[in-house]
Amino acid sequence: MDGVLEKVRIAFKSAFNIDPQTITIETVPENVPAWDSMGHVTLASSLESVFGLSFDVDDLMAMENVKEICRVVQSKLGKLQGA
Amino acid sequence: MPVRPLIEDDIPQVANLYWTVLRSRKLPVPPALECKLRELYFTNPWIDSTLPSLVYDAGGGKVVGFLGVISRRMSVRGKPIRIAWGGNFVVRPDSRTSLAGMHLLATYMAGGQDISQTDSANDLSRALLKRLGFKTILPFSVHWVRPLRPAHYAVYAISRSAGRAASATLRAVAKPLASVVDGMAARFSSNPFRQIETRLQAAELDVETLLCCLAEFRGGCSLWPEYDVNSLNWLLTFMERMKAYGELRKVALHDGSGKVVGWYIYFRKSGAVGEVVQIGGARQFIKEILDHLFHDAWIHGGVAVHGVVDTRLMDDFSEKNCIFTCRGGWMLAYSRKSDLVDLLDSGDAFLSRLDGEWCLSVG
Repeated sequence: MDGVLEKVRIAFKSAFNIDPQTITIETVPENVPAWDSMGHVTLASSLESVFGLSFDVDDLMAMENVKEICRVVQSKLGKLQGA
Repeated sequence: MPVRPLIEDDIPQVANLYWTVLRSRKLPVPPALECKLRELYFTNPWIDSTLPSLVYDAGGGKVVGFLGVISRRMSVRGKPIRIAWGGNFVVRPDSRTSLAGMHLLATYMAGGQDISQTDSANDLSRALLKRLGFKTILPFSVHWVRPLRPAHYAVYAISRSAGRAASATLRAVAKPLASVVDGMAARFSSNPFRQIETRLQAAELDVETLLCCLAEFRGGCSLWPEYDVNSLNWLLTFMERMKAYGELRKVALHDGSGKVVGWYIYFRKSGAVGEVVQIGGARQFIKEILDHLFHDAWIHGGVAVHGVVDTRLMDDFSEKNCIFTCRGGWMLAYSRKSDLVDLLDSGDAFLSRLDGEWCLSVG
């Protein structure tokens, strides 16, 4: 999980230009002023770029905080590795 | 889930959101706005309780986001389909980190309609919608402008990028010179924007005639809107009250034998750009129909006319010196049935501003 979170932080920095160390597993959109619906789309693109994944609408809706982002990413990475 | 259907008791809060956030205006909300919203979302002739407008309820009935949905009946080769047009999409700025916009859109897209569609998305909402799976429908996203008074139009176009006060000042200062230039230009036969009187005869377009025209001149398209006297009457009456756009002008055009060969509907406004809702008719008369429209707008003081191109008629618009742009609002569509989106994307649809949410402005 730590490795995933570290890369998620990189995606946050790329999407919102913020200090990545401010992002923790407990971070929710209310903690990041630019994380609105448009920001969420930008963040999803950054995550796709960082992890080499692609997210559909259901993924986007599920990733409503950092904990859920890590869960979705891990699940997708696990499926990729299992394939 | 904080997203729920709009109820009538929400209207004052929705009006407040619309006025202060979407229109960036100061309070108080004009009383007429609540009436218009109520009329639009609770009395329109296409009301479908399974396709409601949506609000984002932050708790205790506090509405912080809204997505208006208008259901329209259409046909694909005679088979009925339901299109849910989304519009007036707004979220209170201090609630945007709740991702209310995403939740409203996802709920809307998951509805029972055949197509989710919008015809006036700006660049921001287009980016968001595309990421959620909507497709830009280019054949219905190309706009045309036809200057009628080129100097006035140039001033108008430049002043649009200025602030409200600067814009008014610029127009006031430039108006005398623009009038001289346009007056001189109107006398030159080489002026590409000179008006031409046509031999077509104009009459007021009534609902029955429009219904006949819509059926007769849809040009073999696979997808078309379904109207009856009641729904078309309601729509045109609603549009007639959109006074900010100008006077709604509905014209049927007859040839020498008295046969209806075409029509146009537009908002006529002296000193401004007339917004065209719909143009149609027999293929061989389109250029004359355009000439008639341009002349009608010009003699009533219009500086230009603007509309969405019917790409099948692009040659005619081009020959009549129209200028094309994509800077006028995007049409986007989403459907779980990809063939429906493909059909729109190929331009195989008889759609105009009359058939979407553009013509349902509440002011």
